[in-house]
Amino acid sequence: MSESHNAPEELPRINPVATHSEYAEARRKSWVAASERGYEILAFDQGLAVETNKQVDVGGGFGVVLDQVGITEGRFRDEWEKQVICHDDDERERMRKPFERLLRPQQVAKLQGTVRELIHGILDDIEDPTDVEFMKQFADRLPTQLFCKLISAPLEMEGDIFRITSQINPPILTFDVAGIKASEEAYFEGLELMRGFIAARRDDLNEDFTSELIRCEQEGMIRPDEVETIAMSLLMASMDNTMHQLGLTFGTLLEDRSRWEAVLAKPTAAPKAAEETFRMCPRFTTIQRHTPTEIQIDDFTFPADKWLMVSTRACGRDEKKFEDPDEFRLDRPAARALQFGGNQYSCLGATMARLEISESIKIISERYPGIRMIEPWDYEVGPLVAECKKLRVSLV
Amino acid sequence: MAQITVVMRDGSERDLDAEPGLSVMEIIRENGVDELLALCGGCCSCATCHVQVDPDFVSRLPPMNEDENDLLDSSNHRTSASRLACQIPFTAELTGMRVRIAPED
Repeated sequence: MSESHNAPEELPRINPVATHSEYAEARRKSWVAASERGYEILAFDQGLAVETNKQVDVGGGFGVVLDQVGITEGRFRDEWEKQVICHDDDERERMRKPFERLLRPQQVAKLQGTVRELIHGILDDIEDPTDVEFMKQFADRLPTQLFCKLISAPLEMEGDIFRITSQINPPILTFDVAGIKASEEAYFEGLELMRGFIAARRDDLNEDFTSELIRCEQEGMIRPDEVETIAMSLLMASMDNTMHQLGLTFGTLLEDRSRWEAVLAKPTAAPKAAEETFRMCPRFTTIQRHTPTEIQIDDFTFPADKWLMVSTRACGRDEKKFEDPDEFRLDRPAARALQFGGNQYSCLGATMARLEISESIKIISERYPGIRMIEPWDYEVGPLVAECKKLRVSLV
Repeated sequence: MAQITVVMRDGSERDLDAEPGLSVMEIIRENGVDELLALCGGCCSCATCHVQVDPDFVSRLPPMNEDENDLLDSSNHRTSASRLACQIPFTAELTGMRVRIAPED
């Protein structure tokens, strides 16, 4: 920061969904800006400092977003209130434990063979490789099929699972109030489905996620009703975000041929390529944090009870952290992907998403090195998330 | 060129050219060893580049930070020689080091 500021009126103003040049201009004046929703963090080091600061919290969690879309009471809100993302403090810690057991990196790493098999199968299903709707024919399918595998559901259920998951979160994350009724209906349809899987699995435990959740219950880690709550968390959160990040990643890689050529030149750098696309085009455009007390970050003191919005799009283009930030480069020093958050609020599915995305890059680069866009891609950046709307490619 | 030796999970060994300035994770992967997943690309976020370092070299490594320590705690195979390969910058002093890719949990 060029000078110390402590009052919002002294800070540069920024739109929560600004352009990269607007972010850069604001960042030249200050690493923190003000917007209608709170403080906007525009620089990487300070963004990371906010995410890893042990004093910040999430201000009650996802309930704030639910309030904004009108899910304020009733059975849908009650269900949401059971989810880990609506909690803070000790309850959140307790509720994270089964997820940490299911999704710990070493556990996820063992899914590499399954993920590879699914990717090859999905690519084999493509009838016309010269005209592929990447989202529909690839990105939507991989996380959905993996979810089916994880709960031992037949792959034939892929269509139903996709329909349900794609109706629950998107209207909420994009503040589409008109879609909330469908979101609620899809939630309860999904809940019935999950209850069926859990009931069927109770007498026949195996190595799948449902069995592991039941074991968590048997060991006293979670209550019986929380088995279905966690299963719903996985249904809601393990697919939609990865689908869009897959689209955003491949859109970023293919919109400039030199980026794809860099991937082809260094096939073992697929994980780095994925991280570089998370920096340049993250699914989560904002990580929202709250100050329960006055908190000092760098040279700035944030007052108590304020919202800190880590703008991942702005931080990812911070010139002080990333040389030539608009360039895709595989030789950058590794930097934490801010979209996955930190501490007790970090994304529990981050390693799973990374596995799916980096394996997709690796396998597609091996099988279809000539993949290219056949028309400009379309994506929409919102205040919370970015969505890949359309990505048409030729694989050959 | 300097070399390190990597011991695979099946016990086989490979001698790899090692360029100072890269991390041990990058050296292993850039030599085509993808048994070491390194899913986060080296930003100390995932623990999938867990290696066990030759005891003779442990003291020559940079100290472990809190994040690395926490991530290693999630492994069933943590030993006093455990490190995340992405957190070991290769220097000439580490020439000849052997690292074993940690077993699957």
